[in-house]
Amino acid sequence: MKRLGVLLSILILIVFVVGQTIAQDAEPKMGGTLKAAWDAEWVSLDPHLSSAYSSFAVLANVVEGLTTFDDAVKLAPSLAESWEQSEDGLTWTFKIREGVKFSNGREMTSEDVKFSFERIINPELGSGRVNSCGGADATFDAPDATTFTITTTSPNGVLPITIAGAAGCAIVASESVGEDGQIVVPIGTGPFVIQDVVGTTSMTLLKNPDYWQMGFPYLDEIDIVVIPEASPREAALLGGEVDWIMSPAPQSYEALKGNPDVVVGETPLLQYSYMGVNTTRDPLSDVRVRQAMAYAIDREQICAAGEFGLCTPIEGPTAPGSPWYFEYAPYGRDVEKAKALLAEAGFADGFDVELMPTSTYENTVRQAQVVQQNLAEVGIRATINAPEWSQWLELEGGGNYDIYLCGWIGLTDADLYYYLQHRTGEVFNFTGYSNPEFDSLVDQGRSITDFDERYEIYSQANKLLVDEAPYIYFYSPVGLRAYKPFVKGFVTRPDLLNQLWNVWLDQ
Amino acid sequence: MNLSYILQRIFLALVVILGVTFVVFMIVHIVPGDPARVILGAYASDESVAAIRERLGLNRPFLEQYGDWLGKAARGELGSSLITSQPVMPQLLQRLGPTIELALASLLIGIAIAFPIGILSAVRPGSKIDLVASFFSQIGVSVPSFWMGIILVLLFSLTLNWLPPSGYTPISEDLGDWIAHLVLPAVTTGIVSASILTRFIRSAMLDVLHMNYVQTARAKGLSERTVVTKHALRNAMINIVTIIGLQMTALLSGVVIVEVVFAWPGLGRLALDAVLDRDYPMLQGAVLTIAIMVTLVNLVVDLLYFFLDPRIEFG
Amino acid sequence: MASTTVAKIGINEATQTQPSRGLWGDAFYRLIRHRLAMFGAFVLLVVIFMAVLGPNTAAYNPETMDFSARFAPPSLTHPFGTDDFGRDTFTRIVYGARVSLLVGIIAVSLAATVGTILGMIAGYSNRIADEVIMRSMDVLYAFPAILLAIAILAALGKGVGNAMIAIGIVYIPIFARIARGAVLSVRNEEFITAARALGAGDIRILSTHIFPNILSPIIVETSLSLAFAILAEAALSFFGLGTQPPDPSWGRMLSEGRGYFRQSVWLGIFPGLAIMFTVMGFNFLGDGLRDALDPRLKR
Repeated sequence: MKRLGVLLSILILIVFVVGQTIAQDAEPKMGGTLKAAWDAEWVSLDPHLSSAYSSFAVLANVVEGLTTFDDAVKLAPSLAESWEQSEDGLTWTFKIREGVKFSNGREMTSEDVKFSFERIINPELGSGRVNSCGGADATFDAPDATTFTITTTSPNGVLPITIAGAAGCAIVASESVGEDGQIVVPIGTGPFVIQDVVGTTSMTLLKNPDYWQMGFPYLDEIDIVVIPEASPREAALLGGEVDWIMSPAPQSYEALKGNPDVVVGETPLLQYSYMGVNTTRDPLSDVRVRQAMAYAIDREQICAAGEFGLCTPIEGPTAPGSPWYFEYAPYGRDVEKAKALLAEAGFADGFDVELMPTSTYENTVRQAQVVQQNLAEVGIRATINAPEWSQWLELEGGGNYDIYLCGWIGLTDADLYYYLQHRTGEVFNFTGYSNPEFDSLVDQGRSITDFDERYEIYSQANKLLVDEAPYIYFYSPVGLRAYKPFVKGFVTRPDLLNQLWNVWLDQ
Repeated sequence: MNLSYILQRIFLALVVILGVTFVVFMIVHIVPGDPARVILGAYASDESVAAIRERLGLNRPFLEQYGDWLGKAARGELGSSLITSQPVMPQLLQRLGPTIELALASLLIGIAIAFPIGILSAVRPGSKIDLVASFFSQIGVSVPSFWMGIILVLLFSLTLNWLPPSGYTPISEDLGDWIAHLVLPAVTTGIVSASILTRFIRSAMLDVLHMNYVQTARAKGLSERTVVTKHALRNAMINIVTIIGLQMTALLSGVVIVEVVFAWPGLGRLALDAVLDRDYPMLQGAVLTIAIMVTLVNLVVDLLYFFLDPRIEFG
Repeated sequence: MASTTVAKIGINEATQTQPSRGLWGDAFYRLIRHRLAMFGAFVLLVVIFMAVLGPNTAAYNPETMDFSARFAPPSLTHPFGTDDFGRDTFTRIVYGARVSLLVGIIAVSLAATVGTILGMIAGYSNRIADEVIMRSMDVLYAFPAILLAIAILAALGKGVGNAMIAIGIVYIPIFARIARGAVLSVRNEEFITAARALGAGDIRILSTHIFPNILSPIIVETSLSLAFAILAEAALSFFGLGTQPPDPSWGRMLSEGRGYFRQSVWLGIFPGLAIMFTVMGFNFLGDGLRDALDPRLKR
């Protein structure tokens, strides 16, 4: 018996040692340069102003927020170690991490946090993040170097979520703000520092030696180039010019998957593609007309045309992969039902309508062509007008459209799916949708923190929204990244947060 | 040399460049689309748009904005990009190099192909070589350059894997890499240049080959080779230099599409992005730079003309 | 004195008009014997035939999608294969011929009309008008052509109609320069001076005396510009600015298909060939016209 015990211990020891050596094989290596190819030129690098994904793919490695999301998109501490909400729900208190330095070597304190939040809500800056960071009426306080408070005018249960990460309310050093109030290159607390950026075609990120997470980042340097077309981008990866590429084309998925020299990272995304219907225009103001369109479209075809089938057709904003998924899907494709609804609304002979995708995002143009054909089958005569992004935004923002096609990305909380887009008069409510019952539900939903309670509330809001169809949903896409097998530690995340601090090179 | 002629040329060029900047300014302001919205993207509330427009000075009257820009430009300040806030000047300088490199490389390819073929066709007009050359030079100007670029990438990069499909490496970093990246875009535009140049060189040579002095040279018993190279070509050079100059200006301003297809970081692509983003300081800067280069080339051609043929009087 | 002048004019007009009929006749004769020009004309006839008759005979609708037949390679049922929506590429190319030809013809007509009128005024009237017109033309000409067209399209809005206008504007300076140069070369000819002495007004002189004499360089330029205009439309559609979906246009087909060239090479080959052949047709014809209309320029 005793022998057996010894044997067992030896066995365990062997397993342990072998395990150790295996683990040692997988032990991250320090140093090296990652050559990465972006799919679009970055726009502004001011984290408080920019809205472009290509900018945030850089900024996610340079600036940080008080909170962040881990790889499973769960809320996690970052520059704040902990946080708590006051009894009345109006004040959030954050305990700021000590010993964090900006990349210029200066220590970060709660004053810097206060500075950043105040810059964001300053109306002169014109940031689109005011709502995420507490709202225009919020007050910020830094009673001591490690304490920071946000006080809002109404209870806000989701604040730690909406401020998270570089794309939320990023903490920057006041030194990075120029005389004209602009940030050209931000000074942050992140694992990398932006170097050599003139223009928008190439950039170098250097390791921040003072980074507060000990031992990170592994890489010394990241060289970023921009290759807008997918085929050359994939060719650059296959030919070894770069080690990592953003968004290979969906149609190349099979070929890349079958290539032993390439790793394809894939994940269902917290995004959705949809068409927004102008509810202030006749006949689109008639809910039956909107429902008819929701029945008329073939989501499988739209998904096939838009993303080569790398997507999940959806009828509400949330997809099966999200914790906020609601199994409410009333619209299967039903041409007869659509025709009946149109006849009921007095449009048995259909009507003329304009679809507005943007030529800047070609998948919306492809979606529009399928929608056009689908609508024609129920008698709705649609034309397509595809302006480029700058003009599209103006038409959309001004409500000068019938139906636009777009998508929302980075949806980490239910509030981000429902509040700003659909509450009466809210800033991104471009469809003119208004329903007091819906409004009170989403108000309630953002004031509390308990998940189950909120799930119940949003489930009701979701049903109202899907039934009244100011948005007609297409699909939730799959995110793709492709890289060389020696690139280790990279995680293709559902929110597509492009973190490279734990990436290392096995070569 | 007539100095007043040159001064007059420069003055007129300045007037034209001024006109160009005004037209650019006007178009950007008429065109729907707002740089403030480009910055904000989908996250644009009316308040944010208004605040950014105010900060960028876009709410002022059109002429005031133009006057402001012009005054600064006269002092050499071209302002900052509305979209990235980066100063315009360093970006122009960064993009100028690749554009000139591409234009020169294309021109070299064009000249290298066009001279031998053009001269050969002119020496034997109506021959098989002449017919084949004129057929291919027609094809060269008939192919859309973006299509040619795509086909070349498909063949030499994606299928054969010989050359990188797109991108740019500065010459100072790695000469071999620079050449590898340059080949496909330069060939794409070079073929068009070659086609145009071939036709002009052929006709310029035909002109002089029938001139009396060439006939005289032949009569003197000089070899055909000497006649063609020493007498005919030298005299045809005057017209050929003009057309090469025209080609150079066409290349400097015309490589937009090729720059887009090959992700070549040149001025044309910068200008195109600036149009799409309504980034007028950047667009102004890019168009101004292109216009100045074109003017300079024209001036150089004029001067070369003068040296090549002192009989010409200016004025 | 007066009578001798009239007599002289009589002679002049006779020598101007009498052989000129023969001149056009000669030109036509030279043109039909020009091998490459006839090849060009033949290619163009095929394209025109496609544009006019094709849509009535095509087996498929150019806009109807068939998700069961996406990316079908060339076969008997789909001679040029199908695209990412399962639409028949051959049918779309046949329909696209109409777009290319229409855009080319209307854009060049616009450019030729406006440019010729401006150029004639510049060449015929006083120094100030000349400078103003020609410097404005220089301003237009100093722009990279495709950028100018893109900017104009951004201002006017997208679509085929506006693409025609944008391309037309871009080519105005070329016609203005040619017309002005041609006017300058004839304005001091004797028959013009004589007509003026006889009391002919400026407009009459321009339209009946000068215009017929500058027509041949303009005809040649028109044919060559048609080639460039079709290339320009293709380029604009390539950038998504010309024809709007789902209307087929060759440039648009290339632009839509370029993500799939590697997997479905026919999407990249056929629309490009269609553009190439049509443009080549106009170029060959234009060259032939030049040789035929101006024997001195014959190379």
